[in-house]
Amino acid sequence: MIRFADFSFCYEGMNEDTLKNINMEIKDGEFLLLTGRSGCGKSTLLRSLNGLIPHFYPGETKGDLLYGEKSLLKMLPSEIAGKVGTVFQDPRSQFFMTDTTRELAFGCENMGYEREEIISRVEKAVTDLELEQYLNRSIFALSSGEKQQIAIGSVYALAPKVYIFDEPSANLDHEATKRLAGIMKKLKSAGYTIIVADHRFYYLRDLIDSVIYIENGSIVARYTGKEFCELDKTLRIHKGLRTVYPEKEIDNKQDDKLAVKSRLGGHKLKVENLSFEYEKKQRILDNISFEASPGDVIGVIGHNGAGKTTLISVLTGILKEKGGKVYYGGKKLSPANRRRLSYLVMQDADYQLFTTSVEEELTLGISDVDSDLVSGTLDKLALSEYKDKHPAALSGGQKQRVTIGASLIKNSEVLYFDEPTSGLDYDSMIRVSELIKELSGGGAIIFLVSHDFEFITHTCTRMFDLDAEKMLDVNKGNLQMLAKKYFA
Amino acid sequence: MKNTKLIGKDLILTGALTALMFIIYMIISIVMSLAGPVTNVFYPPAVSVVNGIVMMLLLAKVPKYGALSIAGVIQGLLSFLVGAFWTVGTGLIVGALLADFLIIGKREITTGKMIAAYSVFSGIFTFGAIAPMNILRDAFMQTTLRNGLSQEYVDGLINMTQWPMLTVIIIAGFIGGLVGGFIGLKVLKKHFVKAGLVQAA
Amino acid sequence: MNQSIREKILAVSFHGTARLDPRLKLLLLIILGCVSFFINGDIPVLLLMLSVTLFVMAGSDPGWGIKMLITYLVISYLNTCLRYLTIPVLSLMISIFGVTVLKMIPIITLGRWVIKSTYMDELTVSFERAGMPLTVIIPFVVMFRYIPTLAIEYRMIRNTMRIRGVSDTVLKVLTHPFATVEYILIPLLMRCLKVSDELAASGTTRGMERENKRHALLKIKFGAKEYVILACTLCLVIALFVADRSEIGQYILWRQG
Repeated sequence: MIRFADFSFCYEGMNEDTLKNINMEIKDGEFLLLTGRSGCGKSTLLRSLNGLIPHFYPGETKGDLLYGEKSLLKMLPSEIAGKVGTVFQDPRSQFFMTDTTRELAFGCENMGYEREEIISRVEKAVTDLELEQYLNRSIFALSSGEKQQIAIGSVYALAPKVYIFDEPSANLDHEATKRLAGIMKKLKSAGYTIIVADHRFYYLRDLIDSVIYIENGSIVARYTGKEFCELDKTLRIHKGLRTVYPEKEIDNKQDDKLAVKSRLGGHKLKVENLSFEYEKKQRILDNISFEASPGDVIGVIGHNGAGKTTLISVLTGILKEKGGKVYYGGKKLSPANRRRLSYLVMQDADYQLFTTSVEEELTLGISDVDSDLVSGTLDKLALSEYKDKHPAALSGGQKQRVTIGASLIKNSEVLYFDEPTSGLDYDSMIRVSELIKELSGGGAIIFLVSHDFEFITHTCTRMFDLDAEKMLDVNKGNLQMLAKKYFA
Repeated sequence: MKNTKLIGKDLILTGALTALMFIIYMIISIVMSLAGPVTNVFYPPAVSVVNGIVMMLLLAKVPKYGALSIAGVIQGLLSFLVGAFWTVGTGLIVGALLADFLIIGKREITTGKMIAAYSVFSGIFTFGAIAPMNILRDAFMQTTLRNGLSQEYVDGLINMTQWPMLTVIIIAGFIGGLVGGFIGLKVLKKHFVKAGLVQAA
Repeated sequence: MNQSIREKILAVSFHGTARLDPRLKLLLLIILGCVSFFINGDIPVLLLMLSVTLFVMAGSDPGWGIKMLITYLVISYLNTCLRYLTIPVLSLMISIFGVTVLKMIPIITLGRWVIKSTYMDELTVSFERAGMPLTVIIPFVVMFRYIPTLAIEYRMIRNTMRIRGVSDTVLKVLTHPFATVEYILIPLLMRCLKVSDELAASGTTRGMERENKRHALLKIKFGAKEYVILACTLCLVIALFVADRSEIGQYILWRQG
C-alpha cells in the first residue's frame, strides 16, 4: 500500500508548491489513472513515487509518503529500484545498451544479481510479456512501440510490485497502444499495482479501477473507473479531458458532405505514380496517385511501416522520389520546389527552434519581413505575450504553435503535420484542430499523419489510406471502418 | 546544501555532451586535415573554439569537481579507439585532469574559472595533438628520403615541425580555448540562460 | 519451449577472437597503438597490419578486415607514387598525411572491431573489474549509445533547416559559417539536455547508481586464452621492433620499376 500523508513538494528555485497537500491511498493491486491538464502536477506526483523526487529533482518536501510502513522520501532511487518500476514517456530515450537482450538485463545487472539469477529473471520477462521475437536485435532498429515493450520488459525483470507509466501512449501508434493495453492487462491480472498518467486513456477503459483528477497541484476529484467512463460530456470537456470512447465521436460528425463542401478553388496538388524505396530495395511507396485541393485536410493513415513518414518526406522535398511526379497548379515540382512550397510541423518541436526569441523565430529565413503580419500572427496564435521569450522556455503546445506560426509567415501553401497531438491535453488538441481548420479555410492544403482518432474525426475532411492506396472522404461510413481497425 | 558529488544525472549529461564534443572533434580534424597542410596543423585550436560552446554548457549544468575530468578522460579513451596517436589521448586526459585539479578544484565554480580551465585543457590537448609532428619527424624523413624526394623537401619538412612553429600552434591552442570559452559563455547567456535552462552565472 | 528462450537469451552473436575478454581487447589496442607509432619500416608496418587483419578476421568480421587491408595497400601504394609528383610543400604535406593515415589504419581496424564486437554490459563489467570508477564507466557507455542518436537528430535538424530555407545551400553555409554552426548546435544541445534528463531518470529508477559488483549476462574471464594471446602479441611486438631496426626495416615496398 502507498499512502500520501499531506504531501507537498516545491521544486528548487520555484516560488509555489507544484504538489499541494496530497492525501490519498493506493491499494495493492489497484489500477489508478492520474489525469488533468498539462502542467497540473501529474508527472511530479509520479516522480515522488519512484524516488526521483527529492533526490534527482531537488526541492522541498512536506508531509510524508509511505510505502507500506516505510517512508519513500528517506530511500534513495537505487533502493527503490526493485520495488517501484517506471516506464517513461519517450521510448527512444530510455535505453542504455545497444542490443535488446542486454537492455532487458540492464536493471538486474545494476542490482548486482548473480548470472543465473539475471538469466532466469530475463527469461521470465521474455516469457510473460512475449518478447521472444525481439531478442538479440539492435535497439536502433526497433519501432517506438517495440522499444517501449523492451523498456517494460527491463523493468519487469526487476520484479517490482508497483508499476508507474508516465504518458506511455504519447509516442505510440494505435497498434502499439493496443499491445500496451494488453501488457497492462497482464500486469493487472498478476496483481501488481499500476499507476498511469496520460492524456489519452481510451485504451485503459476496461482496466481502470479508480481515477484521480489533479488541478493546479491538488486532487480535486476522485472517480471509480465506472464513474469516470460515464462522465457527462460537458463536464468532461470543462475539465479538459479527452474522451474515453473515441469511436462515439463519429456521431457528432453531422455533415457527410463535408469534404466536398470545404473544397476551395485554387492550385491543386497532384501526385502521379509516386514511388520511393531506400537503398535496400524494399519498396515503401509504390505508384501512389491522388489529387488534393485547397481546403482539404487530409489525414494520412495506414499500419505501422506503411510509409506515412516516407510519403510526407517525399512530398515536402526532403527525400527525392524514385519514380512518379508531383504537380502543383499544373506545374511539375522538383524536390527543391516542393521544399519552397511546403512546411512540416514535426512531432518534436525542439528540432525546429533555432533562435533566441519567438518573434525572431517566426521570421527566420525570411528576407523581407512584414512586421504587421508578424504581430498579427502572434495574436492569432495567442503568443503575443511570449514574443520576447526564448522558444525553449515554452510549453510543448506553445512550441508547436511557434512552428505553425513560422509556416504562416513563410506563407506555405501546403502544410504537413506529423503527429501534432502527441502528448497534448484536450484543450491543446482542440486548439490545434481549430488552427488547422482555419489554415485550410484560408486556402492551404493540409496533410496530417496521426493516430489520434478523436483528432482525425474533429479535424480531417479526407483521409489517404496507404494500405489501400486510395483517398477516402471523412464520413460516418469510412470513420466506422477506421474505428473498427483501431478499437476492435 | 549544495550537492558536490556527481550523481547519475550529471554522469549521463556528461556522457551525452562528450559524445557531441567528440563528434565535433572528429569532423573538424578530418575536414581540416583534408583541406590542406596549413589548416591541418591548426585543427586543435579550431576544435577548441567550437567545443567551447558545448564545454561551457557542460560546466554550467554540472558545476562540480570532476565533470571536466570525465569529459577529457572519455575523449582520450575514445581517441585511442579510433586510432589517434597516444599523445593525443594522453594530452586530452592529462589536460582535463590538470585543469580540473588546478583550477576548478572543490570550491565554487565561477565563469572565470570555467574559461581558464578550458583554456588550459585546450592548450595541453593541442600540445598532445601536435607533439607527434616533432617526434614523428624521423619517420617522415626516412620515408621521404627512401622515396627519393629531394633534400629541399626534407628541409621544408624540418621547418614545419621545428619547435618554434609548434610553439606558435600550442599558443594558438590556449587562445583557442579562451576564445571558445568566451563564445561559449555568450551562447550560454543568449540561449540557455534566457530559456531558463541554466542558472545565470 | 522455455529452454529455447533461455538459449536465445544466451545466444552469442560474436565468435572466435571477438569473444575474448574486453580487457584484453582494449589492452591490445593500446599496445598496438603505441607500437604502430614507433615502427617505421614498410615491411614491419605491413606485418602489423596483416596480423591485425588476421586477428579481426578470426572474430566475426572478416569483411571489415579485408576492406581495411585493401585500403591500407592502396594508400601505401599511392603514397609511394608521390615521389613522381614534385609540387613544393604540397606533395610533402600529402606525404606526411599519407604516413599518418598509414599508421592509423591498423588501429582504426582494431578499434572499430572492438566496439562492434563487444557487448556493452561486458564492457561495463570489465571496466569495473579493472578498477575504473562508475563515474567514468557510465558516461562512457552512454556515449556509445548516444553517438548513433546524434546522427539521427542531426538529420532531423538539417531537414527542418532545408524546409525553412536556413543555411540550406553551400553558399549560405560558406557565407555564414558561424550562424550555421549555431543553428545546428543549439537545437542539438537543447535535445541533448532533454534526452539526457530522461535517460538519467530511466537509468536511476533501474538502479544505475548502485555501486555493487555487477555480473554480465555471459561469463567473462581473463583466463589462459587471454594470457596466451597477450604473450603472442608481446612476441610479435618484439619481432616487429627487431625487424624494424634490421635490414628488413630498410626495404622499400613498391620500388620503382
